[in-house]
Amino acid sequence: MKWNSKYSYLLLVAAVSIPIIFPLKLKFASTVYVREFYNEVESAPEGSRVLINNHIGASGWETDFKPNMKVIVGHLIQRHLKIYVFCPSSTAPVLWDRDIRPMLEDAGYVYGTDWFLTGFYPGGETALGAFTDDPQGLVLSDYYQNDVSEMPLWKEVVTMDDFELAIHTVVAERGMRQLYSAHRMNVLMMADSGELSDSLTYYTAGMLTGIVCGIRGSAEYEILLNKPGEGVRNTDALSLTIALIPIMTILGNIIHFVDKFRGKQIK
Amino acid sequence: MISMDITVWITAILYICFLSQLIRRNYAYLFSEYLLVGLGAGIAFVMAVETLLGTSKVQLVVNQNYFFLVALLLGVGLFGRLIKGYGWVGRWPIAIMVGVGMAIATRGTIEAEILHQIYPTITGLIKPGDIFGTFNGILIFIGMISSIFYFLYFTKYEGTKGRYLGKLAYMGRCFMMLFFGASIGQMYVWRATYLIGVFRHLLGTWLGL
Repeated sequence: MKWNSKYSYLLLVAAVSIPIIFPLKLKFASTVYVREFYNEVESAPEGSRVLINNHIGASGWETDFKPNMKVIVGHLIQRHLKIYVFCPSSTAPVLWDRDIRPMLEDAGYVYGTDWFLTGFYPGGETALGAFTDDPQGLVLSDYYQNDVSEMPLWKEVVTMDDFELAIHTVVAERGMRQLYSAHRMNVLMMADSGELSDSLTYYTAGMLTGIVCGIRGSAEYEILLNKPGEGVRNTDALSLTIALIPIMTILGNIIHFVDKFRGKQIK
Repeated sequence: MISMDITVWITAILYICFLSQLIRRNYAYLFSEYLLVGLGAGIAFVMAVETLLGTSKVQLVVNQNYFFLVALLLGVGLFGRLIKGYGWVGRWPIAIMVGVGMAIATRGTIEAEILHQIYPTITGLIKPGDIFGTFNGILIFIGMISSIFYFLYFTKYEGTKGRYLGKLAYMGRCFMMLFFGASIGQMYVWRATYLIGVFRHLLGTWLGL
């Protein structure tokens, strides 16, 4: 029996498209690490400083990170927390400026007083290490090319002890080495869908306080905030796509055994 | 209702170009692929130059920190690799970058990835009043010990003792296979997430369904 891979693509397209056109509104429970992320933000005193290590690239932004970032920043705004964004990714400040800045401005957040955005700092973990060791020495101008020496919000930050929370994105190891081990920060993780198992290693060890991961994470957070949005809408499509895995596995095995019984070579 | 936004149309057309590869490799796919790589490199270059100009202005003009020139010269030295006969100039900044990168990564590695992983595995074995937590702790402990045994090469699994040690190592292998399986599953979810983003744009933002 011959199975054309294009049939698999068609099944996949159907599994993704149907819930987008006709929402199924499937129920889901919230996980303990998302609740802990939420509780940590909820319990931060008003006016606390929050560092976001924004290492997000363009590819994962639209579905994975934008809903996460929107719902979490929405919560930070609700709690009146001050937001500092450090960007060791070239596209991160551009995406933040395009998609998150309007949200902050609509909420009445003033740049330089309530939130701050750095430009792109190349070097990945090296840049993060340099930032955590001496933020005032590294960041001399912001994304908008302003001299930050007179900016009130920036003057408040001298060491990492001045931040109450750190939200780390993408590779968990980097955050653990530079934020947790080197400075004992209270680290929350905003991970993409492929990073949950890596992040859970650190969460189980007590190094991460909470995790929000991918579409499911944003959906859970939206439910906790009682503001269903993009995450909830995308969860149906994700659930149906995941359900396709066992179906394809069973189908593949049936084809395999049919071929075996017929004594044909598997194609 | 179909979107009238030109950027939405451009994105949708490029998505279709990318998806066309599922039928066969074609020029539309190649065009979109090269465009993505080129734009990515272009954005990274522009952003890096902007940050560099902003930082240089403050460091050199305001702070009069001329030591910063050394960093700038090392950065320029990277381009030595592009000029025939001056490739050696590029080795110095790369050596410094690799050295600093390694040092910075190493400073937290021992604690974050070794000590702080072992400590809660041992101390978190029994959680009073939490049956599932205790079960989880014991399972993680067995998984850790057996996986370590899989990588012990100093003993031959022979005789009665060896047979049991061999079974322990086999158990470690099973735990690792479970982890790899979970990782592959997550990789699938990750890719599916991208696909959902593409179809949400095509069906929702573009076609307005």
